[in-house]
Amino acid sequence: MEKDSGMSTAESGQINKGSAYAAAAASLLLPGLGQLLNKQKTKAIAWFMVPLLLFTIEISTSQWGRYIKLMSGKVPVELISNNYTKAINNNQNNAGAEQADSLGALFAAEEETATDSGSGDPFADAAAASDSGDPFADAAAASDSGDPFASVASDSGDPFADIAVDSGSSDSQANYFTAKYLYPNYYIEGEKHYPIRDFGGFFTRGIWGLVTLGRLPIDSEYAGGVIELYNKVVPWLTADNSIVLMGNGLIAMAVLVVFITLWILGVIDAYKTNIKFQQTGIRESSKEFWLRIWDSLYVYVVSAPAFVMILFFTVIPIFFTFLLAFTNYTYKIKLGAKLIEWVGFNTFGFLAMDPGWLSIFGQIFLWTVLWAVMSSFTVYGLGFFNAMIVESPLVNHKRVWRTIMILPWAIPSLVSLMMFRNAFDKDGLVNQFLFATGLMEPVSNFLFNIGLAGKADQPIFWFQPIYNGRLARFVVILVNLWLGAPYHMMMIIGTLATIPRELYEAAAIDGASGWQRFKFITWPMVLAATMPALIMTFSFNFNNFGAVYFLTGGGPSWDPAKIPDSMRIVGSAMPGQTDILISWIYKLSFTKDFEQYNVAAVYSILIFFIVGGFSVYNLVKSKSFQEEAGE
Amino acid sequence: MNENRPLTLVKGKQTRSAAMRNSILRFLQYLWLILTCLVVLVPILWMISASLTKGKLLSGVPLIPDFSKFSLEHYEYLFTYKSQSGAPYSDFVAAFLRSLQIAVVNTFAVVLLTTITGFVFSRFKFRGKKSILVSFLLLQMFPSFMGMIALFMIYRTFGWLNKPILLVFIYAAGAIPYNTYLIRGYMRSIPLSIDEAALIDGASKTQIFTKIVLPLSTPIIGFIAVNAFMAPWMDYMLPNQLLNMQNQTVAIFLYRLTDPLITLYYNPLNFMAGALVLATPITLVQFYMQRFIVYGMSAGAEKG
Repeated sequence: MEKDSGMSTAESGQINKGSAYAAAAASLLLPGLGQLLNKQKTKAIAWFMVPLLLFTIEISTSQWGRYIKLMSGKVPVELISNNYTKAINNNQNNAGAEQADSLGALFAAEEETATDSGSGDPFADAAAASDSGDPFADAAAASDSGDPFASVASDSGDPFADIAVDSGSSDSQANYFTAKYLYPNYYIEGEKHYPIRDFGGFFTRGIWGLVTLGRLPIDSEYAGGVIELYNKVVPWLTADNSIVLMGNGLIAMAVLVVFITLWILGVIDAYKTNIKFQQTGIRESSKEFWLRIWDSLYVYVVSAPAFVMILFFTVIPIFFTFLLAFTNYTYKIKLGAKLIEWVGFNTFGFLAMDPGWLSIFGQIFLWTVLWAVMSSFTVYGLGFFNAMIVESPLVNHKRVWRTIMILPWAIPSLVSLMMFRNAFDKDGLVNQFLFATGLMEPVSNFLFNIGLAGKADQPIFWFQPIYNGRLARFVVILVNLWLGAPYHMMMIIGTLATIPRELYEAAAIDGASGWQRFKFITWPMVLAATMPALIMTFSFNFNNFGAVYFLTGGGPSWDPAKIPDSMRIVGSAMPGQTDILISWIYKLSFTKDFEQYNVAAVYSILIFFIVGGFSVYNLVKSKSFQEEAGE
Repeated sequence: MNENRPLTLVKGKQTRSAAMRNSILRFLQYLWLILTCLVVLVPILWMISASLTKGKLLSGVPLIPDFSKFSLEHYEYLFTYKSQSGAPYSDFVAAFLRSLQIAVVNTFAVVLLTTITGFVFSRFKFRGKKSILVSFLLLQMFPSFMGMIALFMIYRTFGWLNKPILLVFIYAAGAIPYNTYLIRGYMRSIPLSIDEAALIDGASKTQIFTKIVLPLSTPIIGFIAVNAFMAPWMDYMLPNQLLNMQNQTVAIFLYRLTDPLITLYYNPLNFMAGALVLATPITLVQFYMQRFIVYGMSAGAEKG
């Protein structure tokens, strides 16, 4: 440590808050400045990197230079987009759009991935459906192939522009190389202009996009030009794509938050160092500073890759979904051709007020809760029972029994679920078995009599007809029992081994019966040990998409007569009778041509709060977390 | 329960009625066990039998083995059918290899990332630790595919679509929070005094991690590795949205075989064969790694 006796006021015991505030204010103005006032040069340089980096990113991704040039009147008139060029522009636009479209279609065809399997790729579908095509696809196609038309900027002075369009691709090369950047015409009377949109960099344009979600869709006239799908040379002529803007805006915000945090840390540091110096007269040398930084940053540095991955692949997508809940984004909006708008809590309000949606949602929610409770308890109960029997002293060859019984756990669940989907088919194992054993009639009648099945069919249609909704729900729980019980059996067998033997000996001496020993020792001890796991099972099952989707696909469908009119807009994204909330959300987001992104997002938020609240409660109560709190 | 028999013997109260009751109880227990095992085994046997039956109809599958219907055509389909001529492998094998590739890379990525975060969270105190832990927990509660639109956008922007291996980013990122909890719980049980001794001997933090904490955490790492290896095989949603037909994974391949809407591929008996070919190695790995898994399950149960 360096001692700087000249500046020190430590001896007098007086602390001059003013200078500390001054340092803090200087740091607020420009990180590093306060550190400089505190006479810490290395540190100042380190902090100064923050605004430097911030502005470098902004400037290098922006075209503010062009904006300044334009505003200072240094741009030759022929480079400014005007009504004359607009005519040509229009002409080329059409040609360009055509080509782009065909490419877009090609690209979409190439990407047939999901369209085939029924649930659509939301973007590829846009390309196929809308005239203007999928902006993503076109953008990618155009940049991949270097599509000359898409990137042509009309040069007002170029007499060949029209000819090039006529003669097709032979002259297109010339066009591509002679394409010139065109400045927007901000001098048109009565037109709003958006300099941030046209010239902004990573941060400014990102925030603008997030706030406005775009202003200019395809074919709108703007600043003496016509907005087109994609323009490589003149970026401002490219149509706004709300989703892209939202995504970029989110990323910009995330980066900005990091910078602002650093900025604030700089202010705090300047203040604290100043105070500390006044108190002790000791100033940290730069070497010590770097050592300390490495020491305290060690955890952040080594775990940075994990954090970055979580940020990009978990946090940003989640925020994105949160934002979608406040927009009007549904299948009706073809990106590029139409803009998404912020609608605040409208979707929430609609879902909470509309009786039709509310009743369907209520029924699905009730079934989801029932499903989560039933599936968790049945699985736990059967697992417990099986564990007790396998571990019973009267049973030999425990290993063999156990190995067979945990088989369903070892088989991948997707495979078993799809196998059961076939087993409960009209011609599947179950019906065949019932026919072969002559049990079909009694079983069918029985199911009808107890009200599970709506009709006494032979064969039994387990998942299809509308009147068998309850039966399908019952079967879903049954199949889940097959899948889930072994896991709990294993877990409980594991816990049984941890119960101290002495307890049983003491109980036996006291003359407790087997049942009493179970009731007063085994049961409470196992329950206490596996309670967190049970809660986990509950929240897992609440969101157990696979158990429903792969088994029944949500079917059987609702009785069309019972569907409220206001629900009909969802078309084939209607929930089925076994659909739980999560699988309905999946349908709402990915049913081709009926995507309801905003509704799906609202319901996701709801699930998030229910299940998240549950889990946090579970965690905060847990032993290890409370120990942590005590540290 | 384990101690039931010796204790009763010691007390010498093995009367006739008790013996009688025990044998009834034993009978009932065996009956239950046999029934349970039948319920477990019959669907699996049916699956095997279906995969060896001619044709493409479930109704043609005999309940009792019928050798006149025996055929290996479904397995042949799996290993020979190519939708594009000139492809080096059949569609199924190619899809299988893609999934295998994802699974292997994912295993390494998850183990590397989560052991580091687990180490950090178990050994250091730092600002924001607790809030990060809670947010980790919250993060995994959000239905993963709801971020799909954003993920799709990110993948498209970077040109990552249709590249199976890059799905690992999402799988690994998704696996970090929960596994961090597990590893952290385990590493906290490794005495700090070992670290301190090493520190005195001049070991760096990274050395403590690689030379001490990591080797002592093998059981939990085994558990996490198995889980990370298993997860991608059965994921349906991500590949469905982010990969095209030519780059499908094996889960999608199988799903297509069972979806009646896709008439070109629909054939439940082909599915049965494919499911068996896929499930057999996975099941064997699960059994082989059972030791780790049971351990991890109880750790997970304890730590919540």
